[in-house]
Amino acid sequence: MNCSDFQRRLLIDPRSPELADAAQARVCDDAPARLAEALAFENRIDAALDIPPPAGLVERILAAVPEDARAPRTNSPRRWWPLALAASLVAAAVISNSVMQSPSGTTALITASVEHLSHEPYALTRVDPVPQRLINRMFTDAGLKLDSSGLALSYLNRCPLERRWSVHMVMPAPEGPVTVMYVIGEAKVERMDVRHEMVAVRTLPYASGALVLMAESNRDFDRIESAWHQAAGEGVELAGGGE
Amino acid sequence: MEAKRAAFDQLVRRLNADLYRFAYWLSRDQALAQDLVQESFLRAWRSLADLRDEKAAKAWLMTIVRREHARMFERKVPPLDDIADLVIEDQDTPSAFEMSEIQEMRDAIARIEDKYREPLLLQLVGGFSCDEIAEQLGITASAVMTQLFRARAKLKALLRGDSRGNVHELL
Repeated sequence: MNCSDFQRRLLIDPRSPELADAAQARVCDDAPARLAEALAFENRIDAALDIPPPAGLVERILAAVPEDARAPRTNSPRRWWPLALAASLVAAAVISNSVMQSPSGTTALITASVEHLSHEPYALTRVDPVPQRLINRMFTDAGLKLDSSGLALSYLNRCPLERRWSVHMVMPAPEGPVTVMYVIGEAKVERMDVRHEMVAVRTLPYASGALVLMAESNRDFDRIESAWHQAAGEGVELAGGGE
Repeated sequence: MEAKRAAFDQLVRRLNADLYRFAYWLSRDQALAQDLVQESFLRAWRSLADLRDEKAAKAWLMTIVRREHARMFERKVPPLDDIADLVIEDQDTPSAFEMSEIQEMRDAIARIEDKYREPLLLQLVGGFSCDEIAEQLGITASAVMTQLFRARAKLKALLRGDSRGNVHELL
C-alpha cells in the first residue's frame, strides 16, 4: 500500500486493521496523524448515527405477531412474494405511466439520463468485468429474468433517476464505452435516436421498463440492443421475487 | 412453538436498535422507521427457521427494510422529519458542544444522496464489509468502495461549509 492508496482507503474503511499497520509502517510521513484524524471523524459519524429506538418498540413488535401466525403453517409464506412483487411493479408502472405517456416524457427521460452521467463519471473508467451473479441478482431485484451471459458489463449500480429506480450499467464496445440505463417501470417510452448535449442517445421500450443507451457515438447501439433482445429471449418474464 | 417465540424475542431484542437506526436514516421519519422495523420482524417470524445465524439474520432484515423503503419511495415521497426536531433520549447526556457537533453531523448525513448514505449505513450500523454490502446492494465491491469514499468526502465537504457537498478529491 502506498501513501495515495492509504489516503484513499481512509475514506473507505478507516477502521481496517491494514490501515493501522500501514500507519505504523509510515507509508506517508504523517500517516499516524492522518489515521488518528480519520478515526476521530469516524467516531463523530457513529455518534451522529446513534439514534436510539423509541421506548416500547420491542413490545410493539412482539405484540404484533398475530395469534394465527403462531400456529403451524401449512402454506409457505413465500407464496405471497410473487403477488406482492407484481403488485409493487403494477403500482410503479401506474405512477410512471402517468408521467411518461407522451413524447415529451421520453424527452424528459433522455434529459435525466444524460444528466445522470455526470453524477458517476468514474463509471466509464472501470475495466474489470462485473461478475455474472451480481448482474443476475440486480435484474432479479428489478423484477426481470434475463439470460445475461451475453451482456458484458464493466459497471453496475442501482441509481435513482428522478423519482424512479434504474439499473446503471456500462458495456465496453469497440467505439468506446456505452452506458445503458434500464429504467424500471417506464413501459410507455418511445423509441428515439437523438443527440442530447453531445451524447448519442437511443431509447426503447424493454420488458416492463425502458432502455436508454448513451455514448459518444451511436455506432455500437445496434449490436448492444441486439444483445439485450437476445438476453430477453422470446419474451421477458417476471422473476419470482422473494427475499 | 414456545422455543420459536423465545428465539424470536431474543432476535428482536438483539437487533431492534440497529434495525431502527438503519430504518430511521433511510426514511428520516420516526413513525415510518418503526413501521419498517415491525414489518421486517414480522417477516422474520414467518421465516425464523431459516435465520439461525445472527449476522445472516441482520443482513436479511436490513434487506427487507431497504426494499420496503424503496417500494415506498417508488410510490410516494413521504414528508420527512426535520432532523433538528428529533428528540433523542441519550443515556449519557453529551455536552452542549458535543451536541452541536453531533447535530452538525446529523444534518450532513441527512443531506448526502441515498446512494452514498445506504452503503455507509450498512458499513457503520450493519457492520458489514464492502463485499457483504456489495452482495446486499447487488453492485460490485468497487462500486461500494467508491460510494463509501464519496460519502465520507461529501460529509467532510458539508462540514467544511461547502453547502452542496462538492467533492474535489481524486478517486
